[in-house]
Amino acid sequence: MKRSGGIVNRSNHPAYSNNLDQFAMRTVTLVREKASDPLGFNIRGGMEHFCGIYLSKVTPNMEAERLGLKESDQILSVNGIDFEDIEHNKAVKILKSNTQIQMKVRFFPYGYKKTYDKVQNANVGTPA
Amino acid sequence: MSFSVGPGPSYATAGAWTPDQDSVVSGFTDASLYASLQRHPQYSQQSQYQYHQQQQQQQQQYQHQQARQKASFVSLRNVNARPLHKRGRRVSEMTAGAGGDGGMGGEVIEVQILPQDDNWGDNTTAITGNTSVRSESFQDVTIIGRDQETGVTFTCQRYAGSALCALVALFAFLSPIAMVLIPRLNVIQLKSEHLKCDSECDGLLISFSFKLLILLLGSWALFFRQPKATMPRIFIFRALVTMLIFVFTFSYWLFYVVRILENRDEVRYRSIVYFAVSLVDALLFIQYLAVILLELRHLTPQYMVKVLRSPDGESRWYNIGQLSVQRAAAWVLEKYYQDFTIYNPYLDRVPSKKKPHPSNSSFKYYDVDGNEENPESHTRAMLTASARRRDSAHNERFYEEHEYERRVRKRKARLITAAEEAFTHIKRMHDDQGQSTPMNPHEAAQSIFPSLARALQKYLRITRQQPRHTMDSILSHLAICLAHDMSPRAFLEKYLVSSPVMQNDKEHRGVQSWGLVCDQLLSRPINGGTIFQLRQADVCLLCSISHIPHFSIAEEIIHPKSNKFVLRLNSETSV
Repeated sequence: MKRSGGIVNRSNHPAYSNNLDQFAMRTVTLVREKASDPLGFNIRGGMEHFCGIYLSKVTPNMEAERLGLKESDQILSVNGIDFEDIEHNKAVKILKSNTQIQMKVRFFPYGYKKTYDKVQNANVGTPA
Repeated sequence: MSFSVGPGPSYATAGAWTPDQDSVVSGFTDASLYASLQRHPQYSQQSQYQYHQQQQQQQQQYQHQQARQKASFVSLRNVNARPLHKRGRRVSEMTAGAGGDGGMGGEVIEVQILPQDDNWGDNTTAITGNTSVRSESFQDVTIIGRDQETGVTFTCQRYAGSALCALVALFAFLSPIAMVLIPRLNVIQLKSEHLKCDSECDGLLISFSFKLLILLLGSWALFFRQPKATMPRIFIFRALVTMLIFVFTFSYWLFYVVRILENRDEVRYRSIVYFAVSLVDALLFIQYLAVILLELRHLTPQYMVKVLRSPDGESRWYNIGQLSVQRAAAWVLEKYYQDFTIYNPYLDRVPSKKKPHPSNSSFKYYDVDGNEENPESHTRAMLTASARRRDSAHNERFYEEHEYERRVRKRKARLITAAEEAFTHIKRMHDDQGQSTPMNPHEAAQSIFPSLARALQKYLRITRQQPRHTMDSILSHLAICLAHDMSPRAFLEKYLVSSPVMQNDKEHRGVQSWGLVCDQLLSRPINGGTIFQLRQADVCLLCSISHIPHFSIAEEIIHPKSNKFVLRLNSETSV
């Protein structure tokens, strides 16, 4: 909508983008030789915190970063195992045990921010 | 209903208060309202007039601002459940009726005052004492004054109900004794062998006397006291109990006369004593009923009453039991004298030092030339000026109150310092032996009073408490505090704390008259949604009743096994 004065149109703003491709789900496959090799990211969250599994830090100059994984990515499934309602320890075990990992991730900064919320109510639904 | 509010006066600068010659006594004083509520037994008509004059002078001195309300009632007796009755008409009937409506409640008196011609609206001569909106009427004073003349009528009215009940109770108490004694006193001729009293009869007589003693003690403990309030309508429970007593006693006497005095030959003394003992039992049970109805029934709280005081908006909530409206009013008054702060009419407007300067009024800015040059400077000046005006108009109250509180605190601090210093003087006089003559507390009070007089007077002046405390009262209070070794702060408490109404010495009258206004009949029990109003001079207490909600308490079980906790640390794990 147009407004008089110095207010810029929303669509003319440099940061405007209606491209939602960045939020779509994508599949990333990671392969490593040994199970003890680090995958290159930190995860956060879990069922006990009523949220999903999110990436909180990606080690620079590693395979994970080159594949497009970044902070605020939510892991939706790993090798077919659903990661939306899984405990933290189980998720870590699954990730560490396999040498070939096929992850379905999506960029979800809203849910990631919620994992930092101080007040966690038992009645809050999980952000799926 | 009509309200009239006069112009807001301004207080003079610090120093003596000088009456402002231009201000008019604000408001319309409804003298009938005044007179009816000052139903003090020792006020005669003349003193009411003087009281009015004095009140007027006081008003001019302190520039009291009041809003008067033309009320519909005159005394407690005349208010009844007539919600559809137009209020204004009732007052005019009262004044026009020239005292004809004297204590009769509920009658509409038709008085032909207005001349029956076509232009009656032009030259109406209604006989009222009010010739203009701003004058007080003294005619109403004389009219009403005839009703509540002296203390005799009022005292009679005050004790009438209790006296009647006491009479009936005395009659009932003495009848068993009389019934037992009459055969013995040879009033009626009974054969001597009929009058023999064997052991069973003796036992009955002993129990009879003990029961009478218990009855006497119980009545003395509960009922022998000053009536708390004179109420406009009859006190139903008390009347019920009295009637029961009377009916019982009367029927017993009837039986006595018929059965015993008629059949003198077959009667035995034992049966007479049985009869008297049964009467005493019946009286004891009636006393039990009286205790329940008069004392116990209203103790469990069933309603909440909100008491709101009108001129200053102070309110309290209380729990009250099941009572009639008039008894609830007496109960509320008890709590009022105990809990509410003293109402200071001179503190209705926050006293400010400066006169209201004319720049506070809202000016309208007109741009005459209509030219746009120098728009920046014009608009900025106009904006700031208007903003300041708007701010000062809205914040005026806030800043004034803030300033006032600051001044009060300053003077209070000085007062406390002066008092402490004065009290140290008197202590030293006690310790010094032989240097000065010993004084009794009153003289000691007089000797140290000058050193704190000035600070005290300034504090009283700023909190507008001067009319409440005379120098004699201050000196006597000081003497009492010195005699009992009270600290200076304890002495000052009387002037610093205005908390219960009874702190005001002027309220220690024997009789306090209040007017009660209610839509429903005064002896009906209160119910949720009942509203009644108590009035006395300036103060107006609006009481509204609401139910205490019924509490539904259900048990909730928390299983101890579910009382487990886990640590939730949102930790990161590197994978």
